[in-house]
Amino acid sequence: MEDLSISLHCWQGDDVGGFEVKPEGLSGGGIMATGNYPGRARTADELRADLEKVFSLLPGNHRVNIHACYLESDGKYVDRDEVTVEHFSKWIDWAKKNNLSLDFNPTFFSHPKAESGLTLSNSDEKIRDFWIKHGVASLKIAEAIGKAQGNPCIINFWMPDGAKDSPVDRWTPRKYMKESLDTIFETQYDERYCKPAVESKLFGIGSEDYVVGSSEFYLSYALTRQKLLCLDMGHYHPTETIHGKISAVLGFLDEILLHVSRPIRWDSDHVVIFNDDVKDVFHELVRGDAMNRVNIALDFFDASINRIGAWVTGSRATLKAAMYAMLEPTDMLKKMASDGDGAGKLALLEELKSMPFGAIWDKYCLNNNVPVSSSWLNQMYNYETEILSKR
Amino acid sequence: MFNEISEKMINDTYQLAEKRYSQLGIDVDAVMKKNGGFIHISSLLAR
Repeated sequence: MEDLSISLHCWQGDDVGGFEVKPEGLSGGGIMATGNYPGRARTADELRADLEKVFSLLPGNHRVNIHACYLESDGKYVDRDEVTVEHFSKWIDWAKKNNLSLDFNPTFFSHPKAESGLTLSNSDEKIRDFWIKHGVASLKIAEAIGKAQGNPCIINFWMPDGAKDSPVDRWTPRKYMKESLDTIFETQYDERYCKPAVESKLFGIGSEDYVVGSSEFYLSYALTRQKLLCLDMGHYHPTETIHGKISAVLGFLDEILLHVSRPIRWDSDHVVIFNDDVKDVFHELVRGDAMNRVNIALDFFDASINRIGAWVTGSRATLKAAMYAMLEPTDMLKKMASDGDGAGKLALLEELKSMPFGAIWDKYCLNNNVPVSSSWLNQMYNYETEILSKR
Repeated sequence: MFNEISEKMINDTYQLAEKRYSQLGIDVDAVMKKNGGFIHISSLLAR
């Protein structure tokens, strides 16, 4: 557990707003947070302070996942195709000071040039070129971050491209998307410090009938281009889970990226809890001895509750699921299965569910000098009184 | 609001739980210290 590092998404703290200087606020489709709970981080400094509070309540040493729209430009307007690593120097310095590492994401949404619903697959060459430049700029930023921190920065490409209703041409946007991504990845980058991933989605708001970057599209792309495939727990059919996909994909790819999330009815990005879906993912990783081939990132956002509470609940649930899986007698279960002892295997799996896992988790928290059990809530309430309520 | 759990209570409960897991061949202490390869930084750099 001491080596377990998960990447906490910065966007839980400000409802995916980001810190770009622009008059129009969120626009361009792709992401929607619901709720208006007080205390949202309004600046990058507030967001980093909130993250420090969160990390003080989590056992272990973890990472922070930032988006390009979380740049800091000293009040100046910087368009997406102009972003550089200098705009993230405060993030890099802060991460170093706090012994954290960063991951990165280009931001292909909430922008006037994403209003049509098509970015890298747009039929307008100028719009495609704009977003290609953003992709290249982001790749360079991720590489620079990786070099600064001395370990790979995972850069995840998710584009909202798709169509709301009855597309008559599914072919051309996919051709453009493939070509645009290929152009971006022609950029020279050091794989020791920068690892690109591509993320599919089933549908989104405004792209219900067609998503350019479907599961099949990015699986094919990742396999043929040797990129990481991102499996997001909410990006498949509502009852479809991802744990069964891991062994299939890792039979052909060296590494994958996971987005740990909780879809309810759709890709709602609810706060992660210690549920069967998350436990199944970690069981698969442990049983397949694949822990060192998977990069774990969180992806949820809830603006209707205390955001520190959301972050900590989801993070601790993910860590718990990892530990829970590691406490399984996997070899014993595998032997029962191979011996044909199906009843014994099933019975043992059931008995394991009532083992005293919580006592082990509590001891782990104690060893790491973080609050045990529900006592972390006291710190959440205090932080809300002293900091969040005054925003 | 929520009472801190005493260190003694945590340790006492842990010792009993650790025995339960050890009956199944699980080395709980080892699980807490390492994980069999959940390594993001050094191993990936070495690839």
